[in-house]
Amino acid sequence: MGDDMISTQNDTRTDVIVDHAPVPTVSPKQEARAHPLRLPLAGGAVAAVSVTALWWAAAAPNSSAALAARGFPGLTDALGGFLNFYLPVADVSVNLVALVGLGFAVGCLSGLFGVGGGFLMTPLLMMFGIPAAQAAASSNCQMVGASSSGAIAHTRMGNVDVKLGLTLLLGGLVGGTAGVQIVTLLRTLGNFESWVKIVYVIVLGLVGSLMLGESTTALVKNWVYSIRRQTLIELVREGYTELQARLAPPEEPDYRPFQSLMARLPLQTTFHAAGMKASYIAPFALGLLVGVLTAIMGVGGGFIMLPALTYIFGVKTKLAVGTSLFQMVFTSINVTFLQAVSNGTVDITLALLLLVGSAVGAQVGAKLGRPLKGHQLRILLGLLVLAVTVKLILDLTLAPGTCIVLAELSGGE
Amino acid sequence: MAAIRVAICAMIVLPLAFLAAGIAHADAGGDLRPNLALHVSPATIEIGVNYAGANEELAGTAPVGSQVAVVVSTAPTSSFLSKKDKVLGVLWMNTESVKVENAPVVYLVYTSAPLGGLLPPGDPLRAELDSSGPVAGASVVDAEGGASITAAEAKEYLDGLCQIRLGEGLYGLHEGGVTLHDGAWQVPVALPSTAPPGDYQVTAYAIADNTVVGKAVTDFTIEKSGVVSLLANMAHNSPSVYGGMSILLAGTIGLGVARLFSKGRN
Repeated sequence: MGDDMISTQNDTRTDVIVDHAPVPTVSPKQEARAHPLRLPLAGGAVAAVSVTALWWAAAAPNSSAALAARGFPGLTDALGGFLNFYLPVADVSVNLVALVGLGFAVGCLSGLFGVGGGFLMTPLLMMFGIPAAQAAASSNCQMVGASSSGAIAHTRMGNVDVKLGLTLLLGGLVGGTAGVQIVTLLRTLGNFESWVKIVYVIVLGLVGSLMLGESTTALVKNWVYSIRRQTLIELVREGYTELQARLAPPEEPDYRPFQSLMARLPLQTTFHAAGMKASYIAPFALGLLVGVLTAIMGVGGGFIMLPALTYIFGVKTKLAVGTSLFQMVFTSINVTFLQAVSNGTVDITLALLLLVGSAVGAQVGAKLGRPLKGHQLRILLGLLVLAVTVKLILDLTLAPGTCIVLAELSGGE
Repeated sequence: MAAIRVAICAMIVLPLAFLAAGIAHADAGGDLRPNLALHVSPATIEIGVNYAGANEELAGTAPVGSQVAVVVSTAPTSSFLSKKDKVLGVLWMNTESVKVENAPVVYLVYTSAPLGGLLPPGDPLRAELDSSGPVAGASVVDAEGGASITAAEAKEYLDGLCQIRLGEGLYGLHEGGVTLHDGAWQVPVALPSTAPPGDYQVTAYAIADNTVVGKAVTDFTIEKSGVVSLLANMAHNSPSVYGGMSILLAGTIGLGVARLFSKGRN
């Protein structure tokens, strides 16, 4: 599955799925200039950011609000508490540097790997002591800024199929509205945090293992292909000229699974920019699913939307990124507004602080990722996603230190 | 001569008058000794953008020979608790929710000597000052108003609540936290950032020979101020305006940063 995507990802760096960072365009000349040390450097950066994320995970055995102010105690003391920031809606005091740093780290990862990064943002905010509902809603609000900057860049480059985007959007709006109602319901049940974690574990585990499996296969295939090619070249040099024909790169089949299923659905249409003939129902359903997840998890859904568009619908990666960002702007606006009105959980200061960090981080990450190949990036991302999944599974399955917990609704009121 | 006589009379009468006034004042103050005083500073703690908890200075005087105990607390309120249990044999999830009524969110006790030496075990005030003091008057009911809660279950929930708030620094018994010297006492109270905005009551007791010999009450307030108060009120009172503003600001900043970087690149 996805052979066509793998090959394109290996050929051009521009195919690295980039979410709210501008698509890095690297000319062959620039590539040649790339310093050999940039690969290990980028790898080191990935490791450093991942370790920071996991350090936070380890440093916060339970999401107690007392942890929030701890950030970097030495630095905070040195500056006389100036770096403390009180979030007016979440009612939590946080360390300014730690928060902008978190935004930067997540932005870096999303620029590097090309997914939104919301799937990391919400659980990390929860580890900071920010209640789940406020973390999800505010991370959604910062996505309004993150996605609009990316979408503008992609529209200029002609990477947006407006018709496909609007169909996804329609599904997203319906799904997002339903999702907010589900959040309201879960909050009254007092089990919101556990449910968020369960949805996370399922989705992250699935995406992480699929991604790791696919990219490892690509890595091995690549390796086998290059060895085979090298052998063939040597044989041709030794005089076995009849093998010359086999040196030509293999034809990539236009592989689109579920194509026959989608062809049977009613309401068939052509999405011209995407070069795809499909039923309106398929992208609508995808938008619906992503919309529900966006509301519940505070995640833009790029890491579901993009694989679905490329692997299932057969849309080119760059176009999938642009179109997904285009609809994400509207979906996140809708969800932010609904969360503010029905749950009152959007903390604007939290969103803006994260946004400043993540917007800068995304630009840095996009630069760091240039020397890495598509499947190498996806192996690292797959590992990172699985690490977060394992942490969440441990949270859910290990006996908690205390069985009595303060319910979400009481929050000091 | 007359002047001298008046002066002598004044020297005798005035001190007597002052003494009488003092006794009258003591009577007006009740049966307890008068010289337990209590001051708080500041009267209002403001939650500004850099707020990360605050120190409240409590000070005063106490009758000679007595010890001091101070309680800082919020008004009793309701809190919701959940119990985590194993579901399907592996998952730890909330299985039961209860409402704890009549327990304050903040309850900090400071004494100038170990509690055991101040009051006998059966004393009602000792129970109030003890580590289970904050939940002494609390009751536990099912959150949905359904199943009844047994006494053992209620104790488990109340102990759990005490543990949580103790961990956050909202509850606490600090024996020896009050410095007492020559009848003057003082204690710095560290309020964590999680202490909610609202009114805080401060009650000071002077204790001598296993009995309370003086009691003084005052209060202070924690309130959101400036931008913090503005945004919190806006989010609460006009959520649609607040939501719209959040979207506009996030969009503008996102576009701004992207533009900044694209310019820098060119």
